[in-house]
Amino acid sequence: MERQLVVQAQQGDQDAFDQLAYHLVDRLYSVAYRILRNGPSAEDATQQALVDVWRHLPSLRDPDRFDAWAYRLLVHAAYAEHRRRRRQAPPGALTDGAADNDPYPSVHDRDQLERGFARLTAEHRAVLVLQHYLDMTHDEMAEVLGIPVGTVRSRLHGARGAMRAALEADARPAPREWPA
Amino acid sequence: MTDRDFDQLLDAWMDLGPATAPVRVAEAVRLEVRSTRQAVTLIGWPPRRFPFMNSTVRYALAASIVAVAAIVGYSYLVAPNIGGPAQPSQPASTQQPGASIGADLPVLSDQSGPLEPGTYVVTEVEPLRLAITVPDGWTRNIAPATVWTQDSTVHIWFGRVDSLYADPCDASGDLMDPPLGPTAHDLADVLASYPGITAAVSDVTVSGFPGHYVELSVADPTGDWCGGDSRLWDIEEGAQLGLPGLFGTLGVWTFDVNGDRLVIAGDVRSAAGTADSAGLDTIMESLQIQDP
Repeated sequence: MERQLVVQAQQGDQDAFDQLAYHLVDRLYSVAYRILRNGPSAEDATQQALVDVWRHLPSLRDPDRFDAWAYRLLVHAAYAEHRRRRRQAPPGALTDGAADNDPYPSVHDRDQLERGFARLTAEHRAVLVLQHYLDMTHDEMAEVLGIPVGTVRSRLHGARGAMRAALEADARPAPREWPA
Repeated sequence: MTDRDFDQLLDAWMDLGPATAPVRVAEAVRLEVRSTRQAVTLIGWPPRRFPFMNSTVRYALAASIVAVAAIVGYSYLVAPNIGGPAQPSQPASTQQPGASIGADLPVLSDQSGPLEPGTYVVTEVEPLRLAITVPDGWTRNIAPATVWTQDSTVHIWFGRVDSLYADPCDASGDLMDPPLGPTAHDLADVLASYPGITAAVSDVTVSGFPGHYVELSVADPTGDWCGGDSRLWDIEEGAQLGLPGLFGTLGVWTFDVNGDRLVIAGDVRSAAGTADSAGLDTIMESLQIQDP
């Protein structure tokens, strides 16, 4: 069904695109949110990505590659949104904080992960989200991001290292306070 | 914490957060799409015409065609090499500038997937047309004008470079200041001067267009240079090309094509086998450039 909608939308059928967007918007938004950690930013990136999908659909030669292509446009929209927000917002103002509806990871871990994630570049965030939220393989990530598999691996390595460091920073024993 | 624990923690953390978009997002898209035209895709090349041709221009053009025909006819019918041994075919690197690329060659698709061995036309560096012969085992990458081996150990990218990052290791992404000059020589010169990079520069000519080949590698291949994540230039918004990590090399060919700087980058990973590297050689030796 999706393939048929893609083909119709490629030919300028706006109603077909509306249906396509209806099926796509939640998936794109949830990924954008996880990269940007900010609701309004994720909304803007999702909206931009969907409009880009509409504009550039005629250039998509293989409708079966639509999903990977749409995620790619979304990631680029998220990069652009991240840069725009970073220019406008003071440090630390870019995250909503995690939702409080799950006891695991612990609130403390979540806080540390949020902090570590906030310090990552958009490129590093994207690889973590594609791997840990969408469960993509390295090859799939390379295709979506348009980068070599080796770069995916090195970005993952860097991103995981930074997250781990953030998580373990407070796990180290605190310096003892000397009695006055 | 073990790697497995860490992965589980990240998985669980990623699951937190919204799974549905606010309704206003889809509604905003629907409204914007109603007033947004789809981008037109160019298919093929329009014939070159001179729509306003007065009779003087027409006669001058006819006279020059007659003159060219006379010269060609003399060369083939009267000149003393008739019946002599056939000249060996010229390699692409010595063809005349602007050598014509067959109009019937297939265009390299912009969609990812395995490529049949054969010759393709790369049209993504408009208005230039490039022809390359791809050996067995190569794939089209979804990135702009990029082909790679199926095991992703060698990549070739075709495009333009307008600016370079000031520091390949600096994730903040500041561009070089003063900006990059417009010629192939300017690019080769700057690439060769990056700190921490070893560069060897040589002159090359392809299809009659002069240029340079710069082979780049990390000066200290045993260290963790740039954390394995360097960036030299943007291949598109949000995606950069860097050096291929430890023990890999990046070959950069850059040509001046009638005032336009063409850049080709061949990224060879340390894991590349002999056949993969030979594939890069095959493609680059087959390269033809046409400036329409």
